[in-house]
Amino acid sequence: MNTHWTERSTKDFLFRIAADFISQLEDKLESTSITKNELAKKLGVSKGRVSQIFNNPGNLTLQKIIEYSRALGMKVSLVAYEDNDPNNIHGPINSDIFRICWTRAGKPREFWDLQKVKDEYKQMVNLAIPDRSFYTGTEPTEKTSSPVSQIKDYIPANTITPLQAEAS
Amino acid sequence: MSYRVEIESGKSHANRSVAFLISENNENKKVTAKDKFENLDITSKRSFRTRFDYWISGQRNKPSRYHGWDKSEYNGRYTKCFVFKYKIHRLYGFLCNPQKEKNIRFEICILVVYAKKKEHETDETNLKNVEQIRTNIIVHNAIRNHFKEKK
Repeated sequence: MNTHWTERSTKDFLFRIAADFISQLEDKLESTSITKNELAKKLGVSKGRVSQIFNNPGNLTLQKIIEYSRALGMKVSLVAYEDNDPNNIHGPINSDIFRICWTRAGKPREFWDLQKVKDEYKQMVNLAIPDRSFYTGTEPTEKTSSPVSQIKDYIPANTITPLQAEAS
Repeated sequence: MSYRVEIESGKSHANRSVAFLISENNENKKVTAKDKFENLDITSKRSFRTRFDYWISGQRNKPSRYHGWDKSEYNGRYTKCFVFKYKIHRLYGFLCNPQKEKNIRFEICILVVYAKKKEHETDETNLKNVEQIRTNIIVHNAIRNHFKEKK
């Protein structure tokens, strides 16, 4: 089986996810014009040490990850997930994708906020879909059969509908 | 001279892959990417593989990690060339689509030349070598045959 290079060893996997983290720090430095020198001062280390970490993230500890994040006013989470790839053929999902999805969901801070996101999503779908019979499996009405067929063309095959999400 | 292609990353990816061009029996001395890559230290290899992953996954070009050349540079002579970078190491290659009939969006980066960065500006010699190899009909056939066999 052709597995991703990060499956060869824990150190390989660790390197890749640590590199994702460093990539996020680099983006932050770029967007705020903070230099590595300034970051080094905040951390109480030399610029060379910061460069070393950026060039070789494989030795990053969780403690250092927290220190570097906090020095830039950021926080960090550890996320375990299932992506239907238990044999790791495709490699880890880039941590920036999680950040982008969280941002798009309105940056929910708590589970209460998730409920709010879910309710807003349901409302959005109800307004967007003129014929709910598409989801209920009943026969579409004559009036709305054209919009439903057009919508079906654009919805990917594995999409979980709101009603299915509720049922699960 | 004969060549073959060895996919390094993105074997089962729908949109992109990274591969090394290998000159059989080392006949073409300009094709250096694979050998040099294999002899890099483990951190450099992991860093390059990480960069391959980012490019394959569609992350935007970050000039410090990888980039191509547009029409405004070198009078547009190297718009198919591409480079991956880590510290002073450079892996130069070219982009192509050997699956045009099956997948018009597919893109593969065939890595050809290794170089160490010497100056701020790109050494045009490396790009000339890549372009020469890119337009070589034997190389073109080797790439096409690799993907024919994959079917």
